[in-house]
Amino acid sequence: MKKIWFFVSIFGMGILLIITGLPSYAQKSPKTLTLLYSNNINGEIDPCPT
Amino acid sequence: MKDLRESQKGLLVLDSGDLLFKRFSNPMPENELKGMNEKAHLIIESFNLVGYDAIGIGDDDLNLGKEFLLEISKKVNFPFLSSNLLDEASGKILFQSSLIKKSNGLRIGIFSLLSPDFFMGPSDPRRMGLNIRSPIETAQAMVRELKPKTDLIILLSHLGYVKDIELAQTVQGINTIVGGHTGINLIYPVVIKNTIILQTASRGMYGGRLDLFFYNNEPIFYNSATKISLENNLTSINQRLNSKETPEVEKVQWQKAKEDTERTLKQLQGKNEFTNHLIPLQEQMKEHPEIKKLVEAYKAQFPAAGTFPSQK
Repeated sequence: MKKIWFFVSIFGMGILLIITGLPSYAQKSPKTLTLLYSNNINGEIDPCPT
Repeated sequence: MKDLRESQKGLLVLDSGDLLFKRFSNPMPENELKGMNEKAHLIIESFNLVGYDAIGIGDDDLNLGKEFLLEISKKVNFPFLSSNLLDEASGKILFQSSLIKKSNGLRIGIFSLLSPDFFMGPSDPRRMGLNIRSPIETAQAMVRELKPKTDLIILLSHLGYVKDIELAQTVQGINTIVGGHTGINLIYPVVIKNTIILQTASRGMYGGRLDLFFYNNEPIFYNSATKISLENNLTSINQRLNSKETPEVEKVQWQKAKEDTERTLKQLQGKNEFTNHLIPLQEQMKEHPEIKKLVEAYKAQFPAAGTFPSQK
């Protein structure tokens, strides 16, 4: 009986590890902010050659 | 724009002024005034459709006077910002002084400055009824006001590139300056004392995109291009070190260069980064169907007014 409980708990810990993820030392995902910016459109409504 | 709104959790769309009219000439041609008025309305309707968050005021936005600008600013879904334009009679600030936007869990403070140097003296009709407070004093006051309430401070600057640099050297706490007036295409933004300075070419030739990556809460960023350059350098150095043709005497120096480069890369770990791109706005780009209709309607009414003299 004890053996069964031992293996069940090992198995359960394994499942928990998989669910929560192994510890990672990689850089965590950053928070991001994108700025789209423009200036000096000066009333231009036609696309200008770049 | 549509793709970005769907893919980017944090997105702000900003302009730093000289939006509505071509460069000021004194006197303004009488036969163009109606066309200018209509085009200004077309532009702000278009900007409503694009979904701008804020616009700074430039000197040329005052080409039809402060009353016109005040009136048209009521028709937009976003504020025209100016922190240092005051009504001459009352001494009160004329436009919204600042804005705090929340985006992707960040509080972003935005304010705007216009230089008094761009007006042609007291007789310049654009300046009638206005007082322009010192940009540096205003910037210091705005940073004091916004810093406790925000994670990032952006200035929509219509001071010109040289003054943007001076301001960044003088006033601490502005994280990004979206510059205007000069129309210089800054592919690699200048960073002065942790202030990123941006600007694009004029007449809508380019749009700018700045991506900020926050790995920590301190709003100090380095250009990701620096890391890429260092990594490329490290690859070259390792090739030299591993090459049988490299003399042993030189390998000592290459080893030192390797250690220096690795040390610098390690110092960059965990630091916030930015990338910047200037996107040429070309005829091949897909048009917004409603904006296209607005432009066509305007051109039908004012066939010659839609072009600059060089395009006629």
